[in-house]
Amino acid sequence: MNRITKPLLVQIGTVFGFMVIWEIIGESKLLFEGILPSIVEIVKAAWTQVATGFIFPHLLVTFYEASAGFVIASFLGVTVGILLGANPFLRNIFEPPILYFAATPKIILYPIFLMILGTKFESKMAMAAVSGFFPIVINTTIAAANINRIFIKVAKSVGASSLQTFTRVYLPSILLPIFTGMRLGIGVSLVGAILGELKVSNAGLGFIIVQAFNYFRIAEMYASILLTFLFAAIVNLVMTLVLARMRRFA
Amino acid sequence: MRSVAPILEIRNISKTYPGVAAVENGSLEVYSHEFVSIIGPSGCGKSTLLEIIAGLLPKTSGEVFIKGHAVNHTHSSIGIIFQQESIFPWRTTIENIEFGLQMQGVPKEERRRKADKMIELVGLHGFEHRYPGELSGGMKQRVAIARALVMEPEILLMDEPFGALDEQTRIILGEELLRIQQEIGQTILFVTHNINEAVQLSDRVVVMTARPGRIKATIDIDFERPRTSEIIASEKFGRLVGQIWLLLREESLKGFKLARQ
Amino acid sequence: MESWREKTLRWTFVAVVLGAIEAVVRLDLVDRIFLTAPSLIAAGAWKSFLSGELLGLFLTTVYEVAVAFAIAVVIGLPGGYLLWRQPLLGRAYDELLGALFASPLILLYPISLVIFGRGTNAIIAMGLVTGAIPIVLNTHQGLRDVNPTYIKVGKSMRLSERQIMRYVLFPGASPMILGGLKLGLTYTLISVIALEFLVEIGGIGTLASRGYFWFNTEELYLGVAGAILLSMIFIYLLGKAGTRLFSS
Repeated sequence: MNRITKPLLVQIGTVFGFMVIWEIIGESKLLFEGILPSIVEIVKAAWTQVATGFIFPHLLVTFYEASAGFVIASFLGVTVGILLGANPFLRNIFEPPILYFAATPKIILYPIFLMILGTKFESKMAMAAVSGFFPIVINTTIAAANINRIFIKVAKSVGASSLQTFTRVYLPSILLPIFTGMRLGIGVSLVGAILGELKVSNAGLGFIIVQAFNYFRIAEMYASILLTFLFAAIVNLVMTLVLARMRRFA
Repeated sequence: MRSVAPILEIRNISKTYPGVAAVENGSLEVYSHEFVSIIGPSGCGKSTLLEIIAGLLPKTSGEVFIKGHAVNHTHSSIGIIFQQESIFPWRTTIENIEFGLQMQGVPKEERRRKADKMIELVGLHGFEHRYPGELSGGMKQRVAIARALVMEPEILLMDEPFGALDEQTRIILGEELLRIQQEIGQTILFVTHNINEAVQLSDRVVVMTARPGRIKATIDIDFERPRTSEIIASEKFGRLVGQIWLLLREESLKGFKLARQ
Repeated sequence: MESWREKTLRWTFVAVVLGAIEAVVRLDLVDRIFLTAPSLIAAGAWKSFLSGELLGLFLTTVYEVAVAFAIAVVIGLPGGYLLWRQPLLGRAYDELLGALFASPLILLYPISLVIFGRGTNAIIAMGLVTGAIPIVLNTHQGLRDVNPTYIKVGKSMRLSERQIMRYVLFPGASPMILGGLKLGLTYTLISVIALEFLVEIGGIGTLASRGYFWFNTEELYLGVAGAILLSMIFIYLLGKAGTRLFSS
């Protein structure tokens, strides 16, 4: 029991200590008035946002943008990933630039999306799609490149057609790494959509954060950020559970 | 030379890769219901030969004849079992066994019926709905054997199927294999590097040379069938093993030297 | 291993794409407000470079990244070592930091702005946080992964604590530690450029945002290209540094 409870106590202690320091600094005159509101105030504001239903339309907008973008990213990512994974020639040409691009901040492309797609949902969807594309394509490429050749031999030996081999053997064998890539992908897709909202938008979680910031309603800003983090955590949890149920594909 | 035609015949099979000859002029006749082992030093091309016969690897020259007809591709008379783990981790035991039948479009009830029979045959009763992750190495190979057998091939090719298993499991599975062959009566072509195993299980042992692999010699094993593992204690067994080893030793040393270059 | 053939093909592909964009713009197939020709971007870049503005922006970004990363290293390496030295802390914080790392930290930037004001410090603070976490985690993991047998060898040869640390532990952990540093630098860079764009405080990221809001298409694309180029140069140098350090 000690092995589990002791670290847990440290974690709880750290969080608690953090909150205490927060309160102390907030109460003192070290920073401007209202910059670090009390935790109670923040939680109250968060609760209000939920109870009044204020947050839900915005949550839905962000969720819609992120999911649509994620679906696009998945389709493109898996298709390109399989193409590159199966073809060493193409892979050698296109994989390095993809890896380089993966490490650049996608938000920098946002103005281009704004110009072409407008300032509403579509530009945020594009952000989500571009962000989520990379973890998915990278994971799929690796999986498709390292496919277990034995499985293909088995399929051939029992007379399976090419189509059957592809759908019944090839795809199932790379499903787990693809889903792992998707789990990463949905996280970054969500962040991508929210970042877009933080810059130019009129709805969504990012929008209410930036609005609270602009009107100096700091406690509400913290509250919205808190709720956003909560939302991201829930999405991640769901994906992890889905992934856990896929253990048998390993 | 026998008066009956061989069920499987390979003539002058050669396989070369750029710069390296894997197999050279392999010729062999296998008769119905026979259990023939192929033994040889590492890298001599025994797996290559097997995959060529199975139609999974193109040959550079030579012919493969199944029941008298020249064959160039995978054939329904041939089933193959690999050394490495090959059952699909995303399917249960019974789904794995049904795989080939499913690919051939066999209807559900018939598939299930045949697969159930196989489960009894290989001794996996009770494990139908387990996933490979829950099975031991020996059980997984049984599933692989069942998967191949359910297709009712007349010829079974086995590429060091028990190589990754521990000695005891290997002996037990060897006996099981003989029992299955008694019941169903296929022809088996069995690649191994284990001389004891070869002598214990086969009617004939074919010895291959080091790379490029050629057929060096064929030894008849005339123990009676059905066999039990008691034959290991007999003098004849030791003699045969010794005979094969002498042939093999020369080739193994050559293989060693090749590897050192 | 990459053949020159594959390399040429890749660069040809890039050249073709750029050429196509140039053609599309020159032939007026697309409204000039949406797309600029690469040649015009290059011209604008040259002008900006000559006036020193471009260089100034690049330097601001590099400065922010350097400072943020330096602090991240100073906190991260000893931090990771501490987690290894005190396994209880290690177990507790591994999980905590791991969860933090997986969460969208960049969304905390309004808080950084509120605390540090609209200046480079806010950006450095965010860059610092996103960079320090992978350094701590990787350093900790790297030390943990050192084969305990090596330590036993050191002890059997009666090496002192410091000698073991210097000749066994850190060399053994260095691949992972190096990996952590690379990761940290990458995340710091991404955070810095992203925030420069989002908040327009200076640096190369600001160019793209400014260009968009002031309808200056050339500036916009210059900013986009500049930011992407800077990232790629960083990644490339990181890759080279990694292999160099290994052969020494």
